[in-house]
Amino acid sequence: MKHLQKNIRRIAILLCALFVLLASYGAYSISTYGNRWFASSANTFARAKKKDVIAGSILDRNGVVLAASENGSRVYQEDLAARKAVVHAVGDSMNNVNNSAESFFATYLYGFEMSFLERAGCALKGEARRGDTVQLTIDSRLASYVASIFPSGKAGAVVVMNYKTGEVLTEQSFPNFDPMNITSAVRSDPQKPFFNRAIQGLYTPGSTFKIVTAASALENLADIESLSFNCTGILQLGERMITDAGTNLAEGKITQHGDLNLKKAFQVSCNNTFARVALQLGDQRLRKTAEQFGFNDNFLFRDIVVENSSYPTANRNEGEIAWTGAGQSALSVSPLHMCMIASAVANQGVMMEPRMLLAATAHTGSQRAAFSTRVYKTPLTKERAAVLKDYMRAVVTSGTGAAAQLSGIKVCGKTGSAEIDTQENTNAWFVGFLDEESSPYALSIVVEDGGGGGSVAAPIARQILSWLLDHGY
Amino acid sequence: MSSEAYEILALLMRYVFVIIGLIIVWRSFRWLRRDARSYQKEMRSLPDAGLIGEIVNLTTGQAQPLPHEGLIGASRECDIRLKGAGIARTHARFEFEEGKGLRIIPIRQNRVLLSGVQVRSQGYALHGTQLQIGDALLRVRLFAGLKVPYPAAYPEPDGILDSGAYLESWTGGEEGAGELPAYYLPQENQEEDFVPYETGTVPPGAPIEDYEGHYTEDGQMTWQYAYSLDELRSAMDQKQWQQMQPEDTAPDEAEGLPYRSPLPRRRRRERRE
Amino acid sequence: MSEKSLKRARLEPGRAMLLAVMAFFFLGFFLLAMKDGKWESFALSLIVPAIIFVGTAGISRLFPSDRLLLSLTNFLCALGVLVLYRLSPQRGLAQAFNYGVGVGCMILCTFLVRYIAHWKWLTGLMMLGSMGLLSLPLLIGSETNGAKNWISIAGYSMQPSEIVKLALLLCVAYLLSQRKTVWTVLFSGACLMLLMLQKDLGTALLYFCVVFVMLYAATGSLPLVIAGVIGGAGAAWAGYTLFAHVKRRVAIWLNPWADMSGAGYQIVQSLIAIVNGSFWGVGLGLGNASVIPEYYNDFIFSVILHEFGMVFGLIVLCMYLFIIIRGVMIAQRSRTVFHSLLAIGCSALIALQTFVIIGGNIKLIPLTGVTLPFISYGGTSMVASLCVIGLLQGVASRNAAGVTADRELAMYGGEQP
Repeated sequence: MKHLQKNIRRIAILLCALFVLLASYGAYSISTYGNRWFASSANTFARAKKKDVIAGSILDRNGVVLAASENGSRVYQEDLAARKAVVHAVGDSMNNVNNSAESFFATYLYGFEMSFLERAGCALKGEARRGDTVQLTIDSRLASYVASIFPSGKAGAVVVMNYKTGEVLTEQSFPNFDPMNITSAVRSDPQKPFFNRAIQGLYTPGSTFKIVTAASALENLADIESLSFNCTGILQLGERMITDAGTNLAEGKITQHGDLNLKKAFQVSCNNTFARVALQLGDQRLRKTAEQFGFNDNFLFRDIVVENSSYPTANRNEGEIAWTGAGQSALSVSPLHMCMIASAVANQGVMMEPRMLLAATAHTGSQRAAFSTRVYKTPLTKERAAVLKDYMRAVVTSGTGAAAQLSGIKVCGKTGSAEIDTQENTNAWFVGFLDEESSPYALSIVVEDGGGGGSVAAPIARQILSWLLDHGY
Repeated sequence: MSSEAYEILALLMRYVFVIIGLIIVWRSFRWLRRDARSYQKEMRSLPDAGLIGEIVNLTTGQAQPLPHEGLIGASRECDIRLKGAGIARTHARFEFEEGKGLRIIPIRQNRVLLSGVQVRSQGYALHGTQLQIGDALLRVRLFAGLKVPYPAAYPEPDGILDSGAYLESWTGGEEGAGELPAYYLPQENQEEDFVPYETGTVPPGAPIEDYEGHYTEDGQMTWQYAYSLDELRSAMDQKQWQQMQPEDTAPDEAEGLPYRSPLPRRRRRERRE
Repeated sequence: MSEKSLKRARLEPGRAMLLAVMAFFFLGFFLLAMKDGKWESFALSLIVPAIIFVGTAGISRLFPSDRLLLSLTNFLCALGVLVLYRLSPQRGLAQAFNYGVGVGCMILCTFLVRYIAHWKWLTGLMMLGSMGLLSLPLLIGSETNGAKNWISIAGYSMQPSEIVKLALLLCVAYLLSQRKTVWTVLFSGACLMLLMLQKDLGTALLYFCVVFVMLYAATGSLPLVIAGVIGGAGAAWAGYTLFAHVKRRVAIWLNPWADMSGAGYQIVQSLIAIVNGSFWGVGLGLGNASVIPEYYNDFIFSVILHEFGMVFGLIVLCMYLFIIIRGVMIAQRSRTVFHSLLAIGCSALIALQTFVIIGGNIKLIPLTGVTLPFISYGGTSMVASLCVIGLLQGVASRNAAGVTADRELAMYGGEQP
């Protein structure tokens, strides 16, 4: 009997621990992921609410009504182009777009945040219950403009955000669709119009990742800025070969940059040099910097859902590490995250948490929720951010991103042309920002199968930035 | 009932349900705690709770309490812990069986002798049965009041009763009558973690007058194990009696109510301090 | 203190709690009656508290029993009836019937443990019987959700593994109390094999854990713990590689959102229902949790969280915890190894079963087709859970009898008239 007593006590502790585990895991997962689950397009409970609650309106940052309830149905902007431009941010009444405002802010729109007294009050007065009005940080005019200049027929994404506050001015995915007229052609489109590429599309970053490689080099290699590299055009590492854009061995064309330093290499986007830098850094240090920039992190932003970016962990041979330094390999990143990386450089090394919700207001006029700005990470020191900014400025003044130049305005950026095996052309990337105190805006652009970043994406960036400046941003 | 009215009612009732749930949980928690406490207290007031007798080591005179079921052996986990040559870590198992006696089951062909006869698979010990575990010589003593057959008059093997302290202290000789048996007295050079038995309840020197009555004419032991409270009280002076009482028992709680509010008790304790 | 006031003092806490439990269900069913206005609902608002009264106060008149355990068990059972009745009245009524039958069986089990002193032959019989019962589904069973663990006799379908659970507890407790470790391992191994053949891996996991816990309680040996963990891990891996439906379940568990309208639908809907309920729930009768498949069985805890809220869910968890702590206390107070092992086995069974299914509901572990004790819909499950409580009650009543005997021994010095 004596031996039993002791064992029983141990078992009892174990059994109690199981229950503690249950309760704490439940509390943890619901508090961390609860709003994501709620926002899921599979939430039939919220949809069922639509019968008894008049859903609140969705406004843009200037108060333009993007979505409203009229006679029991959901209506969007009257202008077709305008409502198509914001469709991925706003969503549609059938929740075809995942994590759009219509589903992610359903808790406000369908009055889940109403207190018992408010609900009882509504019922006593015999009024229908009204959901809260949600104001987004989106600018509908900007969205329309971006949609009008984006190459037609191409898929891709554009994100513009304020790098000081994290407010997202527009996040658009192409192709888009008309939320008020969803045809079967839209549903069966192989380009998947419902898919929000800006926050959920995972792309190979290509040369835009060189920002991270350069940041890592500045941090870890002391005299990197004074080092000189010699680009011969081809770097053979095991079975992998590092080449530069324009090289075509079959035709005997080899792009060579000759002798150059890090800044120059960044400016001309020399894969060879960055491959060597990556090899010097080694996988560990490069990954550490990438993780400081948010790679391999579980993004849990308060009011926007962003797909997690990943820095590869498997299969790390020399060739892979070298290609990672040049932004190829198995890296994947969403356009919004790339925009955040540019923002970190612009904002003296501080990466702000991206935000979509400006305010949620009850129909009585009282404010239900408004989130404050929040710092997400600080991946760079001020000094390194300044050096990188200088590099990115050089890209636009006299490098691959010259097409993004605006006279009299300091535009910084980095182009990218990510090679995808299944595509004929490269994905055209441009990430950049305005280095102006009064207009702190960063953007990132991807055009799938578009071609070179400098020739396709950079001009779009120039147009968007000049639009921003013209419209008082 | 209209759906709006029902909705308000149902929404309101959510809180009522939670409150009732909380009441139930709180009451069960208090119940659990109080029950654990009152059980402990009850166990303290019943020193023989869960026991059916004792096992006396005839060579050393030590006695160990005997639960309903358990293990005999050298290991710390055993209920009857013995040291000496030929004793395995877990030597034998015993369980009390009503109407039959204490069943002794040797573990893995360990050597166990009941009244000098080796036990193969199992054997029953009764009150007074002599038990040999390895080299240790033991005697089983069962409380009166248990449903066990009277032991047949086992012939004691020769020589055993002549050895050891047990015989002398037990009989005491003609002149030694009135002394306590040796196993009631604290032993010298006794190991610290080897506490044989709560000896405190019987103060040394308590008068035991009627020894004669504990043996029947045919030699069976009918020795009454426990002293009644009145007997003890009359035998002791007031000071000794008070020392014996468990400390946190207030006089009016001596009846041992299992469930009462803990509040007044706490207050009383504070006052005493 | 007079006899009467003494009696009142003993009854007092139980009575207050019983009243609270009865009030809860009177209000619950009355609320539902206000919604649908059916006479059945009004009747249930009286019948269910009546069953609770009989199941708690009535039983404790019969023999000394643990009223705390009874009150909590009755609360959970009645909660199951309430939630089921709200979602599907037909199932709720059936469950109320099961509940009544279960209380009867619970009393039977209590008497069994209380009055049977010799388990040797009974154990042999039960071992043979459970082998037979477990092989029945393989011969005449029907397959549901990938597992072939149901049989139907004369229109009634039942799950033999639920009944065998009781036999397993009794047999293993007896065998271990006799230190027959080899027999224990053989018997439980055979049971596990039969369950594996039925592909009922959830129950197999449960059996394994319970036997393991009892084995540890009886022997307390470290090598055994290590062997058990290795064996368990090996069996889990074997199950994972051998059975396609296990692989599927694990994949769903890792990321149910990958296929939210297909394979992951159940668990995704469960999670969404839980967050929709939030802290205070959507209100009894206002939710629409019936969109979760198997809401009446595997996902009933999600339904409770949906309609009553997370705070209430925590309360329900606490009740389970208290039942288990009570079981452990009973095990510790028991005088004999058999009863002690039986009680710890019963507590472990309830604890693990609750953990496995609630953990599955909130995506802590992969979902297994185990029922939530006392609450899930199903006659066999309800009867088996209540029988487990019956076994615990039996041990508790033996303990009480033991303490009474001790008290008498102390009072009369054994020379009791």
